Amino acid sequence: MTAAVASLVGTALLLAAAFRGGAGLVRGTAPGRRPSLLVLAFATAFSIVPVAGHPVHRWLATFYPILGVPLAALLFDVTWSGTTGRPVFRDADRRAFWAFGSAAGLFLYPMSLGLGPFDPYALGWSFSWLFPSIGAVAAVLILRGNRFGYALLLALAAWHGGLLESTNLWDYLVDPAYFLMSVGALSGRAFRHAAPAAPLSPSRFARRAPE
Amino acid sequence: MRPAVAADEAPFYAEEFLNEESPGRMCHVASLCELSDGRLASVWYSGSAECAPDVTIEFASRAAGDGAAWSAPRTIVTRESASRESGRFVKAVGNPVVFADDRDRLWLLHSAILLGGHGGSSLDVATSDDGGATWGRRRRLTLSPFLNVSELARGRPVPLEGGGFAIPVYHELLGKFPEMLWLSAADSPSGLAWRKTRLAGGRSYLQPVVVPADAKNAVAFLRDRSRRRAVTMQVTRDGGASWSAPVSTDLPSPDAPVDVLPMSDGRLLIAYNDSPSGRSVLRLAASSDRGATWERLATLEDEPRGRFAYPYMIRARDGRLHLVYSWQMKRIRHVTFNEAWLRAREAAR
Repeated sequence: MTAAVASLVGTALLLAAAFRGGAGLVRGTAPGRRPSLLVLAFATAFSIVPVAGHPVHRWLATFYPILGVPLAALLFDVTWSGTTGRPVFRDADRRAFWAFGSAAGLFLYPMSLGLGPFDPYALGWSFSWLFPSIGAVAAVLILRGNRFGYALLLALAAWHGGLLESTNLWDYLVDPAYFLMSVGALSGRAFRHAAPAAPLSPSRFARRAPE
Repeated sequence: MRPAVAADEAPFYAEEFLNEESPGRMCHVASLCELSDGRLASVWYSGSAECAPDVTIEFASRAAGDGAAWSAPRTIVTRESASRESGRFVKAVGNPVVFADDRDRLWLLHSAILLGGHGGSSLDVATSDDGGATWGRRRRLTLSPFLNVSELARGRPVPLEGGGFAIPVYHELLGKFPEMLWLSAADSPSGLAWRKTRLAGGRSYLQPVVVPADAKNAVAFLRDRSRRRAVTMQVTRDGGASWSAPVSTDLPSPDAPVDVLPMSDGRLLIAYNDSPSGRSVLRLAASSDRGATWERLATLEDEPRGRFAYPYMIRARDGRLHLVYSWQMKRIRHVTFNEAWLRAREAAR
């Protein structure tokens, strides 16, 4: 039951973010406060529309069975910031999201898909060093004022409460889309920082140094 | 865990089919188990092709006793029923394994294919409290962090002390490797608890079967998809927490699964395709050194261009061995024999 609710909430947040992104592309600006709530209401209603025998959110559950807590938190922030005008997560928080998503995915996916004899996924079934490690990272982040720490705590609490269909902590911490988004965001940042400053053009030089 | 059998029993051997041939439909991947009253239950899949949408999981049962006949096969899972009960799309079903717990509840584990072939499958579990008449409480097991795909079952579950089962499963997406699913009933919303451990990594080992010697020691035998074309084995000395690296045995294998059971004299009995290139020969062999070397005992099938595959064995409470396998991919054959028959075959060689 809780897994079905989780798939409905996840699909509604995903669709709301997608609709907002689509509207932003079409109109050039994101919807305002009231339209954001309408978008969320429409996304929720659309998630329960039956298509070929299953509600839309169960189709997502078919092909993308587990949407992890960090990605759900980021999707929630899209709607929340659109509705209130105040984002939950700031730039530093998002950098922590991307760093954790990249590190966790790089550690988890290659080995869990067969690279070598060690399976890191096995660490998530029951209490292991993964749990205090995540707790310690969350504590340090919270003490430093980074709100990604709360997302990690929420993931630990959700696993303890059996909120998702999976019983493995890794599925609450990272999912393939979050991993790819994280790698993309970090790569984009690295590319921007590594790119050399644009040379001054003669016209700009002329404007900076008027006669 | 050496089984006890009567020393003075007469040789016994019998064979029969579980189903009739259906034009245009293949049958494959049979398994069976015994209930406490001696009844046998068997499942397999049937359809126009592997992973086809029309594949169904069939069920048949047989009362205890030599004269009993198998019931007519009955469809217990279709892709539509699996989709309806799991609340999500299922493209096809396949690879069923049936087993019974100590309270006579039947468990059915099978793949639910979402997309493509076996690589796009998850594992569903369902149970029956009435000997297979009705099935319920379907549950999707989340076993892989990558979209929960490419998990399949094939081997005979090993009952655990205190309840639950260690079920040999395998993964086949980018890598192909054997794993162990630890499954038990639990006081949770799903009624189940499970976790998974790995036997080996890599890209060529799958369809493990595990033979425990005691609570700590066990041997696993694997299908090897590499060019080595041999049955492969691993050992554990810590109850499955860790496994040795896979090594090839001296038995050939045409990239096909095997099944292995312990015998009462301490040897291991294997059913396997005795060829590096085809599944036309199905034999039984025994090993007295935990699988390192083997001695051929009996030939069950030997027919040019035959296809006899996926052997699955159990030992019943009366000591007899039951073997089911795909016969020409058209029917499921059931062979019953005892160790006296094996000894007689061995003496005649």
